[in-house]
Amino acid sequence: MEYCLEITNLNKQYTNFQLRDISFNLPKGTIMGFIGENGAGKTTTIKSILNLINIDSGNIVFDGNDITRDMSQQQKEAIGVVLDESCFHEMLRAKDIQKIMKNMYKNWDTTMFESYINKFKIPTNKTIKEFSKGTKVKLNLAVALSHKPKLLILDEATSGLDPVIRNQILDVFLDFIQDEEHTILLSSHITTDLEKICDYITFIHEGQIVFSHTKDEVLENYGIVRCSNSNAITYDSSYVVSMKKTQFNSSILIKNKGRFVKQYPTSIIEPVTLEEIMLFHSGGGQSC
Amino acid sequence: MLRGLLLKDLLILKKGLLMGGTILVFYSILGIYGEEASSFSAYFLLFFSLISISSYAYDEQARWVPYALTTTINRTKLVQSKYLLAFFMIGLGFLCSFLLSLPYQIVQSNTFVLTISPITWGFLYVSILFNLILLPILFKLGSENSRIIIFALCALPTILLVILDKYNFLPDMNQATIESIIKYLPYIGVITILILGLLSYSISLKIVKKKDF
Repeated sequence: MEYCLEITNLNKQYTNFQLRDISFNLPKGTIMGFIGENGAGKTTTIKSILNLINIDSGNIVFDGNDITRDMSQQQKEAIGVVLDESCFHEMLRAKDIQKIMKNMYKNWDTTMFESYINKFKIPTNKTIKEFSKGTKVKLNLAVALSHKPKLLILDEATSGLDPVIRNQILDVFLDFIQDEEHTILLSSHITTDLEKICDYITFIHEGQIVFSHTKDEVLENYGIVRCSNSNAITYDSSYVVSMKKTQFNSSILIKNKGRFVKQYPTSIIEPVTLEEIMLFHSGGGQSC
Repeated sequence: MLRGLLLKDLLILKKGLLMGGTILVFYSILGIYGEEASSFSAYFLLFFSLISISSYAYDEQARWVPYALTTTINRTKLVQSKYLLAFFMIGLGFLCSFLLSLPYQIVQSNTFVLTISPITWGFLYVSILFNLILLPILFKLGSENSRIIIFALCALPTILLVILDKYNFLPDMNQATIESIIKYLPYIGVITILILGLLSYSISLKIVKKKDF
């Protein structure tokens, strides 16, 4: 399998936070959802990939090339980025952005940018200050796509948007990866969106990778068992990820669902969503 | 790439430059009919030398720099663009100052001589020096904290000179000494600017390369 991005043992220490041994691979031609609660380390990981921060140790390979400490201009041309907030000055207009970006990217395609402006209905006669949040995100996306990147990295780009606009943006992502040379890394805590379009899910919690698998594997591997408190303690702890107890019953997030079912055939296991996996991991229950 | 960055700066500063420029022209017209032309030399050069702070502040407000570094811009180009902008603006201020001194000459002394006054040269030197000291501070501390440092940089030497003069600690200089200093001042100016320029640029580069965005 060819990988677009390979991250190995990434470490970064801050005073009150640490990224520890972050490792995951992003296969080419896929969409990977990068999930985690606020403060889990998603943005720090993405900033490490983009050389915005100096990491303590680790290795980052993009398209077979080491980009751990520095990226060449050619490599940067191949990565499109959309951050969580609009990063263009508010007094600029879409046509000003066009002029600036044309001089920054060799691969800049003016026709493509104009077609996205029309498709997203971005006003050309208004300043960015007058745009809604959704329009700002669409402008950022238009810019990121118009220099023909191979990899699109989005950091919480759809947060705070209404479902209509989010859906529109997700459709653009699906179009983007039609060509199997294109890849997307999408960081978000809106797990419903990720369940719709992602091929892979990487979950980060408190600066560490919990898992990085295909979405189907994740959803098949995890389940929720609801049982009485007395039954809950009888389960083998190797299956139990986290448990929520009330006065009368327990909800248990289990892994290795296939083996669990064989061992406890009478247990009722409910399908799990990514949101529930996150909630159970993130202090929604006691870990085992 | 640098062209894109400079274009961005010019586009965002356009409105401020037009407004500031209009005010300066207004004062210059007043100054033409006044007795002292050096004041509008100072105003022009001061106005244009502070552009680098405005540009940096706008970038901070927009959170532009982290995004810019994800494009084809690298940290070196980022630093270079700010120095280029600063010098371009100082050059523009110098040119405006010179052009507006011509009507002053005609009105005040009925002459038309293409000459640049020593005061204008002096303000040019101070503007360049100011930016060479300012830019590494901006990169290190940001625009908000830099303003305090800038105020201290301007105020402290002035206070020091006033105190030294009050208590007669400043050396007495005779005419011959003053004339020889003035004679060598251009050379001293160019050499100090070259040395400080290299130092300033190296420090800025080191700061930006180490910074986490």
